[in-house]
Amino acid sequence: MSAPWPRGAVDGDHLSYRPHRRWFRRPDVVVPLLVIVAVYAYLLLGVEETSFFRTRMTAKGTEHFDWMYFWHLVPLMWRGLLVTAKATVMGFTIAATLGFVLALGRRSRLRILSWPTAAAIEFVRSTPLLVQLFFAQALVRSTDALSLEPISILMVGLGVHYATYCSEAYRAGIDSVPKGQWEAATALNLGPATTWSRVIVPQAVPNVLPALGNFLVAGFKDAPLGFILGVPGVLFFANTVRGEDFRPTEPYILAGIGFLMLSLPAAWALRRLERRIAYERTD
Amino acid sequence: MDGWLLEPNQYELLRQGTLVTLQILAYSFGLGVVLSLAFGVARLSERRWVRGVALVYVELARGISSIVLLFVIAVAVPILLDVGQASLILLGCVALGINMGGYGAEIVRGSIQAIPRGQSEAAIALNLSPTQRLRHVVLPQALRIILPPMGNLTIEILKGTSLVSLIGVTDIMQAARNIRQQQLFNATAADVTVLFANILVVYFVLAQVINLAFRLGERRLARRYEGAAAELPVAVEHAGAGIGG
Amino acid sequence: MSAPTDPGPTDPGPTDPGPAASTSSETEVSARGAASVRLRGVTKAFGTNVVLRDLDLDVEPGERVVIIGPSGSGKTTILRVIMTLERPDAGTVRVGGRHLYHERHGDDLRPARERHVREVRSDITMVFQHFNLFPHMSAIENVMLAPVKVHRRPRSEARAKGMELLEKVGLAHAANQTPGQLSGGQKQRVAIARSLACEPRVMLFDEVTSALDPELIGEVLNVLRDIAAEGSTTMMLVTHEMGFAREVADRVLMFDEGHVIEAGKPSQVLDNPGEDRTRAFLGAVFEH
Repeated sequence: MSAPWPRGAVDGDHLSYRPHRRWFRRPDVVVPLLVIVAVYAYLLLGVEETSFFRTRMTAKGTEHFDWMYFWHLVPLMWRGLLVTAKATVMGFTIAATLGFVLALGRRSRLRILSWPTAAAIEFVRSTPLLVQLFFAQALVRSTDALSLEPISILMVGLGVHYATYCSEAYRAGIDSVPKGQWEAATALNLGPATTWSRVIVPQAVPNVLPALGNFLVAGFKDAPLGFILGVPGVLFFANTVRGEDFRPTEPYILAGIGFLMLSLPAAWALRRLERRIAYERTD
Repeated sequence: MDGWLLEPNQYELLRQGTLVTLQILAYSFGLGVVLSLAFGVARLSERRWVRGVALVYVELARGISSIVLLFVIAVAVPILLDVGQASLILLGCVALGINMGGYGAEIVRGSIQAIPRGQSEAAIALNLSPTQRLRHVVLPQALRIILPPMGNLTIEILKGTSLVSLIGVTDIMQAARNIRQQQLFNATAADVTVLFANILVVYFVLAQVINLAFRLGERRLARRYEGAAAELPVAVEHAGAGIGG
Repeated sequence: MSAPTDPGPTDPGPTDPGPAASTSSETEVSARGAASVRLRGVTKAFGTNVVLRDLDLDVEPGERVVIIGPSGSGKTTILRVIMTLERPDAGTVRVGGRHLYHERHGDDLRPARERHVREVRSDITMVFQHFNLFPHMSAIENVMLAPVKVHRRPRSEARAKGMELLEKVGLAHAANQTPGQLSGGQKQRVAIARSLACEPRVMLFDEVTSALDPELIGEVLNVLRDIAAEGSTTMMLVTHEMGFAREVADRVLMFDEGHVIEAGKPSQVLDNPGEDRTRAFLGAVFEH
């Protein structure tokens, strides 16, 4: 494992042999990571939820589609979109961590652990997020102990729902590491912590990342449902504008376009990431 | 919370809602399958413009959020195109079908590409027309590979049907809302929780039935002929996440 | 797959028989129905690799031609070009006197429409190295598919004919088995029966025994001998089976780097090769 293997396939045509470096020393890993952290921080701290989507102009009532009005709505839509993005990212964080725990539980050799975990995963995966959100909202309201903001309910709902998908991705990734690796770790008498952190996880991660990325994008597509809870996301914006100005066409179409403008590039970037990772695993 | 069960008359409402849900599922599935086949094959066409159109459709159908698409089709498009408000169920099915078609097309495409080239070459050597090649040689073999991810996709569509309640269709979700209306004054939040818990169970059961149906289909196909099935690329297996809502 | 470039004003060359000769049936189709195959100026490149370069080739109706040569020499490509699995970048291919990739409009040759290609192609069929049987159909269904779907024969007739053909290749008893249940030799024989069901005038065989275990090669060669003996189709075989070539071939062509470097009777080419390259190749083949 210490022999250099082709990592240069990433940059263009020539295969350059670079010495193996730990991931935190590699710029092509660290830079994207920093970008992701920056976006994350902005969404977490910089985006505020406002419920006011007040339009300052009225559309021409006679036309079916008023372009001026359309453009006027853009800043409002953007605010809603950011809130939706924020909920997605936060929810996905929960999903990624919870998913790992679930994956471990599912793989456990103790029946008493693996069975209920599997049942729970299957249950959550087979039922609609919409219903789960209503259920969560009702649950929160029924107890006085919990009091959560709508966006928190959305985050938890997304998190739990997508944790089940992520757990499958983790399982597949871990299972994809050849049996021989585990046996070698045993032969070298490595403890479980070392085995996991230095042997298994580094080999599982390249398989898991693309799937996780897919689920992140998928989560983004489900996040607009938050409007049923009152989360001021992109659909809340559309509904409010429609309700106040009685113009359904412009806000919804704008919501659709704005949505695509975030989700399509994300999906493309993801596919490029997949290809890069596939490239690197030249064993 | 006392008791997890509902009143009989409430179950009756749920039952009616379930029938509507299944109806929507059937229509959406039908449209989705047609679109998947059409665009999946189109993605592999020899003509560039056909491939391009198919690619645009697939990217848009997959990139859009189901709920946003639903609203656009059910609310914005009718006004834009100046048609009256057609049946809400129809519009909902169209939206879900279009959404499913995007993912399904990729599944179909991946499976066709997984069939060894020699098969279509043999079909050419027998002078079968391109349509005959697809119908008799490629698609029957691709079906085996298509079924598993298609089953997952169908469950995602089932989850997607819950969204139509938001545009006013009386499916299970809407039935739930009606029950809530009925309960309005005496309902405690606990009752509502029970209500939704029941609904979750209904969906779960439906999903398992779909699962079973597809597994049976897979087993019957597998019995038809021996030989190793080609492997479907991993990305396609995860197709469909994000429709469900 | 791009259409072959339109032959310029200098084409068709002087070797191309004019309109009159191409419709006469004596030189192009034999009494038994076999068709001629004539290539003129065929060029095919894969990227920068030019596999066939301005190739001229004549196969007379009913002739049995064996093509030998090292891998990469283009011998498989010739067969694939004739079978329309690859489109030539330049040149013309005529089968039974009819242009495969071109249509005549008066005195001009223009690139053919798909319909025309399909029509001419109906006289050609090919047996592959890796069989390419349809795994989701039984043997008899494999054989019946083309007659029913392409030639529009009624199913009962196709089935009867199909059983006859399976009988001929010795596999009537396996008619209802699927390819997964057959051995390599059996699969190849079913593949041959499947091709015969098309009643072809030209049969192309692309290394049909190369993927078989040694003890299974013989049964396939026997079937090939029977077909050769009947004489109702032109046969072009790419093969390494020199003994078979000596027995069955009317002519042997030695291919190298896209050209025929030697051609002649089997006894000539195989036993007394004139070219060094041929000698070297045969020497290497017979080493083991």
